[in-house]
Amino acid sequence: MTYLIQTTKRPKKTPTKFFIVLIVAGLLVVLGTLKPVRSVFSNIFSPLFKSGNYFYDKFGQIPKYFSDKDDLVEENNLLRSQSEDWRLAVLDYESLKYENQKLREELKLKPIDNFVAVAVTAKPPQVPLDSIFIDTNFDNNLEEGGLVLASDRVMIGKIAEKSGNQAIVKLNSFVGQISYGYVARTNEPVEVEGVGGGNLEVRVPIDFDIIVGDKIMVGGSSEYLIAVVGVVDEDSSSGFKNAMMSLPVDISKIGIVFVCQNQ
Amino acid sequence: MFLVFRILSSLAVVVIPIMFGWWLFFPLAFIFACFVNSPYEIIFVGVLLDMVYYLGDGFIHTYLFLIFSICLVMLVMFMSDKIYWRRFL
Repeated sequence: MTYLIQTTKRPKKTPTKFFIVLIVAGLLVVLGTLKPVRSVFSNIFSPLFKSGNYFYDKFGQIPKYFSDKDDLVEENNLLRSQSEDWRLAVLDYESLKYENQKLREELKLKPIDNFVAVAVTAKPPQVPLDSIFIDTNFDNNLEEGGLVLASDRVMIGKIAEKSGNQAIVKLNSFVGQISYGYVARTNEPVEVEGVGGGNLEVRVPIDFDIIVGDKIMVGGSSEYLIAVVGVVDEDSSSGFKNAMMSLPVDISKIGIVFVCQNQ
Repeated sequence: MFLVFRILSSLAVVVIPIMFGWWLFFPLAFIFACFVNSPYEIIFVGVLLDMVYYLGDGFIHTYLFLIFSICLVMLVMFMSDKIYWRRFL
């Protein structure tokens, strides 16, 4: 009987398969550090990212199909008036831009950076928060570290990685991302740190002049808006105050961004 | 037949997170591990997703998906000796 129990005991499985898989995975990880390999996978997955982005765009429009007619008429009127205002603002802006360009030429200043428009292929929640994927298929000269703008003067982040026809943009609100800028109203310098979820934070002495609505700019060859102060929280016991900020644009509504080519 | 289902479900663990949300990898990998014998495929899926996404520069951020899948497979191996549950694929 004892013999039977001993012989029928289930043999302990040796996880050789697991170790083989681990070795192969390790090789893949090493290969994954090579740019061409990453580019191949990036190109393979690119259509999936695009179709996911398309799905989320269409999914967001579903509630509009069930809107009330009166609400739609009201919204239409509002949009018409806003459209006229924007048209005039664009005309003003274009004339100022032309004047600025002429003055730069006369003063022999560095020309305004050259930007390329690229499409966004994936954004949160499809990809991790505080990052977006952009399509670099039409312009392969884009380099890591290139500035990414949502409009002419709004900077949202920098290119963190580029592989294949896709690049990953690390937004200014990415955890641990530090930007050195200044408060537009007072010209006081500040160190802004990304805290995730589209938010940024700055910790300053309690007597520092910063209020809700202040715009934070970064300098360089041109000046860009990077954040808007939303909440100022004073902590008198520590003698500091925290200003919580958000990105100036809603990332979920961005379809096209502009990437700076010459820095 | 089971092999086809197994291949399809491991492809789903790659495709669904890429299309609909990166975080879906974690519940899908868990479900995959519950229904599949020796779910080694998710380790490869983890490697692939690590190549595609950017979560930060640290070691854990760079290899988050791989670390999670290895832990999950090891947990499944450990649990299979302790608890019996029927796996289909």
